[in-house]
Amino acid sequence: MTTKKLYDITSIKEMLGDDEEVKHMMSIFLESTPISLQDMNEGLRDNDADKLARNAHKMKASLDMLKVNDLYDDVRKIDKDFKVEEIPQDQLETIVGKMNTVLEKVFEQLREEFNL
Amino acid sequence: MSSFKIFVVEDDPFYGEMLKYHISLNPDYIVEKFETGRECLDNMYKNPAVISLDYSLPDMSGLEVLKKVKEHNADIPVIIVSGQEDVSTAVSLLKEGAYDYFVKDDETKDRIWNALKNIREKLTLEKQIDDLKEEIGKKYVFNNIIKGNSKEIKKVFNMIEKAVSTNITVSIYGETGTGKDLVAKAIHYNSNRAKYPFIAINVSAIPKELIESEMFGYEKGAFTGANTRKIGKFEEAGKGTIFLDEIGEMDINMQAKLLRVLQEKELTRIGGHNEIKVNARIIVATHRDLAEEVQNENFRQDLYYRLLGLPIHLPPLKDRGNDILLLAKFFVDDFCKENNMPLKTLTTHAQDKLLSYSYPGNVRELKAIIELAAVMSNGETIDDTDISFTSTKNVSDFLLDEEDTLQGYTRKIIRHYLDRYDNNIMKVAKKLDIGKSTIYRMLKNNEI
Repeated sequence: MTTKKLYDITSIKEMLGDDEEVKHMMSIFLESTPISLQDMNEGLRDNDADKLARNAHKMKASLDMLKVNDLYDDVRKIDKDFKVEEIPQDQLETIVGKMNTVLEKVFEQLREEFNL
Repeated sequence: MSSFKIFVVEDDPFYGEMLKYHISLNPDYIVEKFETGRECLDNMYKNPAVISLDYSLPDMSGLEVLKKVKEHNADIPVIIVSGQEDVSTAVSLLKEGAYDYFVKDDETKDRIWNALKNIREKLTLEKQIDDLKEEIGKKYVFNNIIKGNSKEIKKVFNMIEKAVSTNITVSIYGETGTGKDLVAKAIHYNSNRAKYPFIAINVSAIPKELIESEMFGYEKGAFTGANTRKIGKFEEAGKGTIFLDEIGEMDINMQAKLLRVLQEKELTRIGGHNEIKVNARIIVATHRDLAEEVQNENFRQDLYYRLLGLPIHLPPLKDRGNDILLLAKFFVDDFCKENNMPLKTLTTHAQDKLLSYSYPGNVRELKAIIELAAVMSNGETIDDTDISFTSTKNVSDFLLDEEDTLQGYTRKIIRHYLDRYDNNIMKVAKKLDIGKSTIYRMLKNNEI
């Protein structure tokens, strides 16, 4: 059974052209984004709204670039543009939980596609 | 154009790397990437041409980084790239001097690409303007434009040097054609104001009804026909130099207005209320004897003293001895080069003829005489027969022309001086040491 790809890097491939360059960029994404995700989780755990929002904001542009559309709205809800502290805790946990689930799959699919 | 250093400041390594890659597609662009504001500021000594700055950085906000960059060098264009779509943030950043503000989306990299292209074109144009200004400056190195070795002209060089090294107001006196405007330009382009504008106003060429608006500008609706606001020449000069040529011709009412501006160092546009600082250096010039004009109550004494500053008197060409030949050679060479003609030399006879003339039109007249002679001469030399003095005011010519009676010579000499001094009878009487009534009588009897 084929799993649905959670990202679309067609435009990145078009821009970079070279396969090795695309692989290099994806390796950077796989190195940096899990760290931001981890920091965001710590923000939730420690009730540190600023840390949570800052890391969501940091990931937003990259996720848009990779067209991780499943998280388009979620990442914006907890972005630092909005008042994260006003979102109920259970709702925050749901959003962060979803981001973890989707991103873990994205990481896995990318590693598989690029042998990383 | 040489390489163009760009700093990309972005805390998300992936997004930053993508930007760096995209920008680096232009081989002339050298990109350095930093993940914090501190790193960027620590590297400012490398003098980036442009900075692409993420608004949200882990250690400080984009606004803080922007302010510090501007403190370091206000001319560096900073493009803010942000995930925030908040208009007020964008406005406050633009007010702080950001070049542009882009929200991160699919188009960002193309927008940055275009912005860099525009900035580079602008910087190229600015550099070309600076180079041209430098060229103009070289053109006006004063011993390049004012030729001469005579004692009289060396005094002028000495005065110009003094004028260049200070901000003192300069008043230049000299007959028509002695090069007053060139001296003004030489002072400006050799002073520390050279990178700012040199604005010249010929007071005698502007109708007295218009000169105030020309000098100080006007607000929209100040008078019929004032459909838009117009800044005046004083404002246009900024920190540069304003050159008021033929200041002696200024209307007495306008003199009072100019005096007020010079005293207050502020002006108000016609129809306006705001006072605008005047920073320009003032250089004035006239062919008149301003002290005499003050005596005759044609020129305000207080303005005269305000403008006197460093007076530079340009000698008439006839008093500059062999400078005539030096200038003649320069004009011949220049004219031949400009017109792709073989270089010509002046024969001894031609030189003698040039030295015998009085040049009422001064250097300007000599230039015209030489250019005509260069055209008239057929060979590689310019002889006395190629030289013709168009002015009828040449004393030696009419004295040698034909024999005349003493009375006849007297009439010719007085006529000659009246022509030279704009029919100023007092002055001519003084020069010739004769009574002015003699001149009046001869005029009345149509003898001259």
